[in-house]
Amino acid sequence: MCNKDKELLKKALAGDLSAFEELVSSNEKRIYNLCFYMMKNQQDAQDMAQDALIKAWKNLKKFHLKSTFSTWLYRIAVNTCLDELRKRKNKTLSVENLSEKGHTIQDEKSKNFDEVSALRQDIQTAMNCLASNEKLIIVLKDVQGYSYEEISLIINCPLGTVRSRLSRARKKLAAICIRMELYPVNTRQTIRKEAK
Amino acid sequence: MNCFKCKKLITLMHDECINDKTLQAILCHINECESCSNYYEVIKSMQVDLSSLQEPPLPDGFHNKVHFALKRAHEEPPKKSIHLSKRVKIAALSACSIVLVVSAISILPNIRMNSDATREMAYDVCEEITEDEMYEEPMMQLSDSENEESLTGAALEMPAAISASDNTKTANEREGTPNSCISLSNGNSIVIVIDAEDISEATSAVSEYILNPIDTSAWVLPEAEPESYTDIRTLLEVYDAVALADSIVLNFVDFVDYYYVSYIEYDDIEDDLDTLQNMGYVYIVIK
Repeated sequence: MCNKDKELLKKALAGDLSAFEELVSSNEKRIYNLCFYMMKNQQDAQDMAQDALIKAWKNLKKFHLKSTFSTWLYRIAVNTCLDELRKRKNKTLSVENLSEKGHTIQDEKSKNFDEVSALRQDIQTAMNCLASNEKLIIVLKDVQGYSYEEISLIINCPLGTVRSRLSRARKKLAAICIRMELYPVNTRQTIRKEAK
Repeated sequence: MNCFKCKKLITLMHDECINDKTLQAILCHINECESCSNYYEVIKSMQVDLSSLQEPPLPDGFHNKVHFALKRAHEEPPKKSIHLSKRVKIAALSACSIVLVVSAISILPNIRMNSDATREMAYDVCEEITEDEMYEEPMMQLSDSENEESLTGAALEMPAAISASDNTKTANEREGTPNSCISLSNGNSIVIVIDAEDISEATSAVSEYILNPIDTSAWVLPEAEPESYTDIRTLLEVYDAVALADSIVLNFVDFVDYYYVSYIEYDDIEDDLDTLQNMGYVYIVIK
């Protein structure tokens, strides 16, 4: 954390909201992006990012400089999204809800992702077939480019667990991509069974 | 190197966590094996596409919305909290702990995770993020080995029944055993150890076993079953492999008495390829 950020943090801890806003401004976009990939739609992503920032503000006193501020913010955003997804898992979405929320990733594509190739759109669709935890680790590593160490801090898991989860998530995503025929695979190949 | 190991390592080979020797072995295998070569190409293309995904732009007015939301939160009067003295807090906590422990001791042995609903509930309870966890600051100074040590503590030690399998032959060495499946006879129940990494393989392994039970009489019998369901809950709380277990066990709900999940950490891919095979196991006790 640089001196300027430390100064801002000090002011924020003293109750200076504008200092906090300045402090989080550089992380806003990444937090929103993470929420977007997790929640699949703009409205929910916006709500989750906002919730995460409010939680961070309200609980700023719990940040003791043991990690970087951005890692702490990310951790809150990740937990906020996972919590929300878990709550929703137990609720059946009604048709009304669906039409209200209707601003899905598909719409997002048509509005803002015109330049994105069809293949990339498809890979987003494939990602949405993954479980929340699997998608999270793929987004953090492969989309946003965090290191194993950073991911380990964000999701609070040992490095070994990050590796194994990532390996499993990639394997699953690859299987989905193959099933969706996103990448050409020689269909005549014989799947060699291990010599046991 | 065989295809199974190679495909596992391919998923991580661009992350620079695999040493040169292993990398050479993978590349050598890829050159010879069409299936792994295709798989490698898929993983590579997938990672390139993922890294080039366009970042969604911030919605219009996002910053203002956040600003006003923060302002509202700032102006909200703080919730009144009841201030208790330290002694009262400690006394209350102790009383709660005693009640919880007594309840747990009396209830846990009777718990049977037979119904889907119970399993679902147990999973959700385990996964729920507490307020403390939500804002808990990641400890940067905690080394990975220390972290893993906490996960491999006594609470996660394999129950005696499973540890006994260490002395037996591995699944791969045993004839007639489905892939990634070890069975140990214990009276009326059979413990099946499945590599939880591959649902389809594990599912077919269970299916194969239930439909065509093999003679396990010559195998080493485990000393005892897991001591209590507390072990099971502890394992479930820690590892996400329970989701895989759910998927497998749901297919055999009439046959399964109970099941639990263990997860063996590997911390150094570079040194031990074989450990990759031990990534996750589901222990299923058949009725």
